[in-house]
Amino acid sequence: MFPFNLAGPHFLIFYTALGLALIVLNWQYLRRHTKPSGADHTKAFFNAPYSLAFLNRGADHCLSICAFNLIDRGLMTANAADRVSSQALHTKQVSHPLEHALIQYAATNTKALFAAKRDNKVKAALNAIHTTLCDDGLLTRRTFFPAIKLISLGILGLVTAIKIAVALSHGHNNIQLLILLAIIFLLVLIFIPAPRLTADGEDTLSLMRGLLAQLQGRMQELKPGGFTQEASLAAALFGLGGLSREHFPYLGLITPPVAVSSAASSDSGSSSSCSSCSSSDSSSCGGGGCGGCGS
Amino acid sequence: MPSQLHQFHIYEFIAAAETCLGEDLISLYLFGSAAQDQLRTQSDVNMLVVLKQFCALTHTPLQPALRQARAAIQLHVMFIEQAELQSTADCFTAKFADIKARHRLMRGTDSLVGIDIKLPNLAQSARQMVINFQLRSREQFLIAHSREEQLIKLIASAAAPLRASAAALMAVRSGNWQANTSDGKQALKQLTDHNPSWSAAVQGLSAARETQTLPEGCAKNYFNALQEIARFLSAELKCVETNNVSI
Repeated sequence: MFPFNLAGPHFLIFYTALGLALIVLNWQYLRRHTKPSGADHTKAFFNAPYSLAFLNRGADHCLSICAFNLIDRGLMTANAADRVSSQALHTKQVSHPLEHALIQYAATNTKALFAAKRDNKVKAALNAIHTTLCDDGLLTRRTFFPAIKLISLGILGLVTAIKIAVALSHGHNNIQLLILLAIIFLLVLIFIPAPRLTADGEDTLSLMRGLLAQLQGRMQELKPGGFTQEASLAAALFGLGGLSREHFPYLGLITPPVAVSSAASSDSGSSSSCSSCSSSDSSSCGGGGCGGCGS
Repeated sequence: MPSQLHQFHIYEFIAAAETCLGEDLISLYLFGSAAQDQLRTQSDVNMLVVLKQFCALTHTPLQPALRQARAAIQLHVMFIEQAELQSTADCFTAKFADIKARHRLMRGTDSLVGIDIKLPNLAQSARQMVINFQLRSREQFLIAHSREEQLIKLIASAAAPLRASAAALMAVRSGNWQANTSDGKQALKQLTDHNPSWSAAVQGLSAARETQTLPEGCAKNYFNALQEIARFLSAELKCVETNNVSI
């Protein structure tokens, strides 16, 4: 049966089914929009806790882990909740650009840790990490707009236009409900968020969790001192909450303001919810909320 | 090796060591439980790397692999120059007797063949190990005794020094360093079987290591018994040490 010949209510049922099917199709596609490349990215992360933290939970978590590492090494002090300080001379003792920028940021006086995202140098260091993760195919780019979205929008627009033309040619003017449905479906299709992580990103995190399962089991036993970087690596992958507050009493002061319940929640994406953030990305809010993000 | 996880990280490290140490690498061994396929999930992994020479300037590229393995499987590596082997074995004889008894050559040529384990040194070194355990564990006990799970860990940590020194004692008594060194667990059992509370504590020690649990309320008694065992071992080792030196 040719759908454009369907009577009004029947066509609306067909149209609703078509709209929902396209939304589901897009959603499913975006969930698995990239096929895993099979490349092993894990090696790079064993000695890169900041990149791992960024991949895992976004910019807030990355800042948190950087501050944790610096405090653990005696190069920064946590003074109160979300308040850190440091000394400019410590910049000579660090090599990572984010460490350098964060120490400089906190060097003049006590600063809010998570507001550091607005500092130019910190923002640049975070952007560099984000760009590398995108270039490696582990994080989705903000500009990601797959062809399937365009095709779906085209189909929906074309069906709507043809039906409106057919209806008008038959002298029917009751097309308001169709237009309303069309607007709803088009908006939903346009704003379906892409996941923060690509398939490779998810695989990498999953592999890292497997490869460091033993480390997770002894997180409570890890001691301060930063000698082996185990605590930073564990916190980046499994969260600061897994470490002992007895050994690291300042953990509560540097935990991101919006509690991160799980890495999975970061998949909800944030390109839409935090599009006004700095260019440090959509992922800066991934799962970590938008605390202090330009608002 | 019990798990693919351990294997993966061990072989990753070995590959990195071969690349980064180059011609300086003479031998690479696993020793301890890893060499005997007795690793448990939370076991650490011990490795001995024998080098022509250690160079602080050229061997630094090994850092990422070492950090990775340390974080992932608690890999502990002893880097030793070939020329230092005998003198180190003379200082840490109990350790080297254990390494000689329980090792697996993973790469290179066997450097341990010519190492001589001297019985008086073995007794002295084992006694140091026991005394070190006594001193360390007393403080830890007083800090942690109110927390059962901490106490269980403390008891589990007694296994290595007590078993190694029991094995050393049996070896020195028999006049052959190789006697019993491969099975400290058995040696400790044999030496404590005559005393029911010691025997129970030794069983508890195994349980603490293997299952991280102990029957409720037993941990303090076990710890106390382990201290008595340590005292006994220390005295016996001193005795055989004196006899061996006088011989």
